[in-house]
Amino acid sequence: MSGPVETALSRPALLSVLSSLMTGRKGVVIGVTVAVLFAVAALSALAPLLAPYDPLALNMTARLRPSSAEHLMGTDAYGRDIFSRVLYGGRISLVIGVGATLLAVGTGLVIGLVSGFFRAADAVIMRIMDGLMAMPAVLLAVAIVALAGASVGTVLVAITIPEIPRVARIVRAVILSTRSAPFVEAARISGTRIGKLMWRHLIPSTVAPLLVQGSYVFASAILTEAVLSFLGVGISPDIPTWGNIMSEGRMFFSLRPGMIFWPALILSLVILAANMLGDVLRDHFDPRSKTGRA
Amino acid sequence: MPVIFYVLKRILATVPVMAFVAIFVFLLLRLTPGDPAVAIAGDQATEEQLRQIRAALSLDQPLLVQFVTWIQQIVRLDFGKSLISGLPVSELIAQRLEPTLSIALVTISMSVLVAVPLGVLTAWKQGSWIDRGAVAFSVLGFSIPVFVIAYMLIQLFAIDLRWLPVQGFAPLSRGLGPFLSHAILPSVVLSVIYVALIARMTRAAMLDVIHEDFVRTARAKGCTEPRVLFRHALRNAAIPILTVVGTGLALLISGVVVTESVFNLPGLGRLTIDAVMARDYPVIQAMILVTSAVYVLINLLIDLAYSLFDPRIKY
Amino acid sequence: MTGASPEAPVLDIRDLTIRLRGRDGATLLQDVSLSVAAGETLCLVGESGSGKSLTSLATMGLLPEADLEIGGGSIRLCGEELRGASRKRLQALRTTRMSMIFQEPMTALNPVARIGDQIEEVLLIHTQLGTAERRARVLDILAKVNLPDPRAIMRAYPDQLSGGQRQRVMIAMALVLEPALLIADEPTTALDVTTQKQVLDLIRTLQKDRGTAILFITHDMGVVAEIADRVAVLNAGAMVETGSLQGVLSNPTRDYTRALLKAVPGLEPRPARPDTSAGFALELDGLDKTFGRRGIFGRGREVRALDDISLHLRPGRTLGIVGESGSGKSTLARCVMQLEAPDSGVIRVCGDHVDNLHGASLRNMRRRIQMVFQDPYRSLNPRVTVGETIAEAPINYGMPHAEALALARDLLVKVGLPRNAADRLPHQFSGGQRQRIAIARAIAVEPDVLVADEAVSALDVSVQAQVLDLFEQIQAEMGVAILFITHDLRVAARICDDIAVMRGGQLVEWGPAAAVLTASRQDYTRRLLAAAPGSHWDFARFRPFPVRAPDMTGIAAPGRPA
Repeated sequence: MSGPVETALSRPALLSVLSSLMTGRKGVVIGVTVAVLFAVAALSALAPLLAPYDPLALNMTARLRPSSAEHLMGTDAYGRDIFSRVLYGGRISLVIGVGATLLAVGTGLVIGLVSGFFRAADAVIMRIMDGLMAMPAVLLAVAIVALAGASVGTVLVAITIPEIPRVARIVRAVILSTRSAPFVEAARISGTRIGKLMWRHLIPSTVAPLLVQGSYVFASAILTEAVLSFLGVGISPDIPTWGNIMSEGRMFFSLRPGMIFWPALILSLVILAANMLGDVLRDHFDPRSKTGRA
Repeated sequence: MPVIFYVLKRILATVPVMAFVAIFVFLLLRLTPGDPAVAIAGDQATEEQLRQIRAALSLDQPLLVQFVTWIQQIVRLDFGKSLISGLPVSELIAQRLEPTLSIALVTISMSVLVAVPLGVLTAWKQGSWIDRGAVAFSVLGFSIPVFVIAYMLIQLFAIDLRWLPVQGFAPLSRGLGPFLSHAILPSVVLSVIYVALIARMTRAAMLDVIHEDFVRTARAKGCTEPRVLFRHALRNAAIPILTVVGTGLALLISGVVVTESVFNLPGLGRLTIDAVMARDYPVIQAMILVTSAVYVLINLLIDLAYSLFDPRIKY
Repeated sequence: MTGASPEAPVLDIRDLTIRLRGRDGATLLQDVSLSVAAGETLCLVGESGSGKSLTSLATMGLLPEADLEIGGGSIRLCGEELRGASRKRLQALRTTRMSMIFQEPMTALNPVARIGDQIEEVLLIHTQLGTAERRARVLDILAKVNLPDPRAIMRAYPDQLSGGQRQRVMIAMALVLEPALLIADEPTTALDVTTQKQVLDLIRTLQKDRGTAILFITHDMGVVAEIADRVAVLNAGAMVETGSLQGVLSNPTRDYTRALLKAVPGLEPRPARPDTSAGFALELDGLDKTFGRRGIFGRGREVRALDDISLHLRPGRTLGIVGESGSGKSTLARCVMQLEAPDSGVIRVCGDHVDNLHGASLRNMRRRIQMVFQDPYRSLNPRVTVGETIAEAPINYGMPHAEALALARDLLVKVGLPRNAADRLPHQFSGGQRQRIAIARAIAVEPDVLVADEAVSALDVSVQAQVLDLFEQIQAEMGVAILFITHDLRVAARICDDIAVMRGGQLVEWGPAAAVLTASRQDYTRRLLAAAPGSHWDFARFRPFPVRAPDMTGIAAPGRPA
């Protein structure tokens, strides 16, 4: 690629960001949270190799067993091994989390750019975003899934839609405050065309907030998927997901609380890691939180 | 007169938002791939059932005609009849209003009372153990699913300690004692995320103003720290806090659906889930419209309340 | 001048040392001693980072405790040791015995509380007065600081007042309990010169009545010459010298003080350069610009930012646009740059129309006018290397990337920075260095006109002098015409051949710098000049200016220069 593309986030800039991120307590938090996320991702990806049992195999002789060496997290009402099901369930959660993050950030970035840069489109777009924000995420997702069926794709779309306005608003706010910054005016005076102006001077300032928001979207998407499955209106109960496992555990809660708490533990750990990652990135990038400490 | 103009302007500004919600809800059913009637009735439906559904939702008419009739009904608060019970949807909603409203009100008042002082304290003692603890609590609150918190509290207070009922709802008409003993757990569960949200925003907003010049002026005047924090800083931090109380409502509504399901409360959330299970589309769309309208209305009121806190916002 | 004798100063700071907290805590202030007697004004002078504000905050007990600590020394107020005093005791002393006013009147008052309540709060905290008495005291002090209609002011919120009025409110709040010590931290820096003069006069009058000791912190030697009895010079956390005003200004003993004083531009106009060129580099003809906010329900408020402005500028010369805030001088710069579109009027560069252009022709015009912005911290993209920033415009106009980068390195040398500065990011440079980079960027496409909008206002005075030298050097080499916008008459005198004075969007006067600065017939210009602090003193030569009789010969007619 040619000059402007290379320099949008030029190597010294990126390096200085990364090196300053990797120091001190922030570095520790980032290291731990990223390690947790990668560990869960690796365990899920390798589920076929690691899982001691077939997650779908029924075993009517070993129903509702408590935790043991044989069944680390016990078994469910059909005698299926919960540990194996949790490993496989991670795949769905992570696909939903990553997918919703990419979709929401991508769409939100485009909408926010258009809204922040073209005043004519702004009013209409922002009213639509307000409308989307007004519909509670779970209700909206529930309605979409109820109508379009409970496939992974539908759930992904249903979870992504409510996240888009938040991303779009952040991008818009950054663009609005950056486009009048003296360095952007200086670039305009230098005869910089609109495409290069956006790519080189405006979009880079959205990267940090998008990293932060991306972590939150990831956490929120995984959480919403679990809630939908738990309510019985998410991905089909035939597929093991963390939410589905917990949903099946409801009936036997007083007898085998582990059916809810084991998947909940892993789920909470992943969401916690993503949220903490977002918080550390936010503390790092938001200059105000720095002056807050001065 | 300008005050009325301003209020009118704000009210008018909500019209396009609600219009978008209405169109979205309307199109959601009609633009779903395949036959909407089949989507509602399921694959095994007979031709007779499909015909009835089409007639009930005017699906057999041109899209524009459908929309106009539909909007006319909505404006009159006529959400049609439930496909399952045959009762008017507005009547169903009215029946289920009390539990939801009770839990929501208890939650909101409890959350604000806890979260705002907590946020102020943590901003003041930034970096202290109180601050770290509160920040950790708020991250945890965002990360543990509502229903998991619910089950943890049920396990502790209802099953192990037997202090509170496991589930169910008692209307206020049965007395304050039973009402509170049933409402307390669901409200605490719901308020975890709300407290986390508001305390976090209070802390951030306070940190924004606490280093402002006028706070230094207040200290230079000889004000005591509580006076500096609550009279000078908090009032200037009020607007983002109010805003998050309003926008957090969306989270609260989602939480209500889950909580009512866990505690088996006969409220609006339960109604919604039952409707989804039964594909009772008139109820689903009414619920989205009503909750969105409540959200927009409350945020409108909060918007209007800004000027109480900041004289720079002029009518 | 009543009360205490010189032996018992109101404020007595001995060997004050302030450190950053932590193991390897850097020392920010080292063994600073000073004292202020009743009725006396001590000016604490220094550039940014000298530690002058730390000294005042430490006295008030307002140091940010989480980060800074007092490492040694003592602070005595009326004989009472403040170092180690309890928080409660310090709170009780504030506004009763010591008060402070701050630099930024726009942010120092609580924006959501009424002025009256904010002053009354002082009485509420520190006295047992009843409501009626408190109100009476507030009205009384508001009248004493010469605010018109005190009753209306009491009910007003800060944003309804001007900067000068707010600073008067701050003074009222600080002095309502007649403290022995007033600390004024750059109290007039954010104000226009005419307002500054009024506020300085007010402080002096109130001091005379009450015998207040004043610790006056400033970076501005002009203000020092106006208000100080004694002067203390701080540099990098250490005391350089102290002495009487006369002594320090006319006979500085330390090199640092001498250098500081030498950097202060006098109000003497520069010798005008020969006017050789026939054509004009920049011509403005009848520029109008009105800003109006029209709400949906009417009630629009219109501001005439430019009202029929006509000016011209020849190649190789510098035209200064001088005015106070709201005069329209920055709008003028933005219109010339086509960052704002004027409502009407014509802009020509070397005879070619440049207004109302779009697309390719706008881009082609832009290479002929370039700009240097006020804030060196915000005018460079923090994520783009200095080399790429400077090369951006040449690349936009078709220069190959490698060639443009090589040009950028040459330009960096030209503005006095090393070649390898091109590979670094802006945050690695100081404010003055950044402004040099901004100048290199502006001259990279060899423009005909360079617009400098308050380009040295954010810089310390010694750095300011160097950057002004750079402008002159660039101009001499390239023959570029410079439109220099500034609020600072000293800066204008130092660099401009011609000066145009603006007020409220209108051109008050336009003529050769000598004529405008020494023999103006315009009332407003004369008031501006009279208000410029320290105008009687020739800092760089350590002596007062010879008293000038008003020179009425050789004045150009207001309007066009000869």
